[in-house]
Amino acid sequence: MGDGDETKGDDVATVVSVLDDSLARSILVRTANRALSADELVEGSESSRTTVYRRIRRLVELDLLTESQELDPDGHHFNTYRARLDRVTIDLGTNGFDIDVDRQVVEDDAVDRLNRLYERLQQ
Amino acid sequence: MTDVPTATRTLAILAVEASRVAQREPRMTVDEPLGLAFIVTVVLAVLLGVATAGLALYRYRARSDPGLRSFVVGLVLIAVAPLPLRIFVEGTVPPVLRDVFLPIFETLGLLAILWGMYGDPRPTDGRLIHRPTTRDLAVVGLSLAFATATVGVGVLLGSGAAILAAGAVVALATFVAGQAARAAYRYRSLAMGSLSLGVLCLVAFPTPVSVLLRAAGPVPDVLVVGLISGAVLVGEAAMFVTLVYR
Repeated sequence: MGDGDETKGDDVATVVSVLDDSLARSILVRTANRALSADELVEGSESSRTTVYRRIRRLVELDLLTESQELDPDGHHFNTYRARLDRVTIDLGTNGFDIDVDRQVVEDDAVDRLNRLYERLQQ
Repeated sequence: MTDVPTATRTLAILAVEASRVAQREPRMTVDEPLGLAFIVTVVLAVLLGVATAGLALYRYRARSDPGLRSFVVGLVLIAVAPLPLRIFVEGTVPPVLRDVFLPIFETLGLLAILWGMYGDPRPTDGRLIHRPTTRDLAVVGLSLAFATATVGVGVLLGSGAAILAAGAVVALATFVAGQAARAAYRYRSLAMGSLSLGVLCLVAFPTPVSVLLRAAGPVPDVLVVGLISGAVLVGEAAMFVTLVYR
């Protein structure tokens, strides 16, 4: 991951509601330092596969989770996920709540793939 | 004093360069402690190489998915496959076989890792990297410069066509090591750093070191043997650390 960037314009209610969900938080925590596939996220969860997949999709839509295609030389590629969320700041002002979501830049190049190959070998 | 080739008949010895040295000067002699140190170095390197291969295959079986296949094959080939060819047991492995198969195994291992990183080079769905970055190109440039310098000096010193093949291997190895070094820096990863060091010591450095030693003029055979065997041991240890570190 590279330097963080900060994207404003997130909706307070949306972000808070997602972070209020324990499964979403668990997914973000588990992918904070290493990329995991959907199957690996399902394996470490007590929720159903469908629920995990929905939560992953929601986090990706909100750009709190990034997905990368993993190499499969046989042609059956699959995605891995890594958290982009770095920090959430909520300020209370006269105009209401203001939310800032700091996101990490997740590289997706050959160097990142080499590191992910190693991480998958270590899991 | 110990006759090194005699000792190696029973235990083995060293890198290609070392065997060449031994064949050029079959009565090369070293102090007994030094000869023993060389043998211990090589035995340790072999054990580390075998352990590295075992760990890589074990982890691959535990987390089997096709994407890991290339990476594991690459690690095993780089760490282990050349060892039998590096070992010198007089009369068992013809020098020509060593000269031909060593770079082939190394090239296959490096290409396997590159396949894992970049995917199918053909313009199909299997290709995962479509546009190299500036930093990718910088590592390519560094690798080509290093290999070209190695080949250039080798040609000036009268090396044959073999130096061209060795130069290609050096370029590939430097590129893989360079990308691993970038991963080590980006992710603060000790494992990626040790992978980079392992590839450098096992594949990228031996040929340039040999060329440099030749360029430096007459050097003691013991120095050649010591440097190459030391590089092999450090490389094998680095590859082992890569797989052990968590």
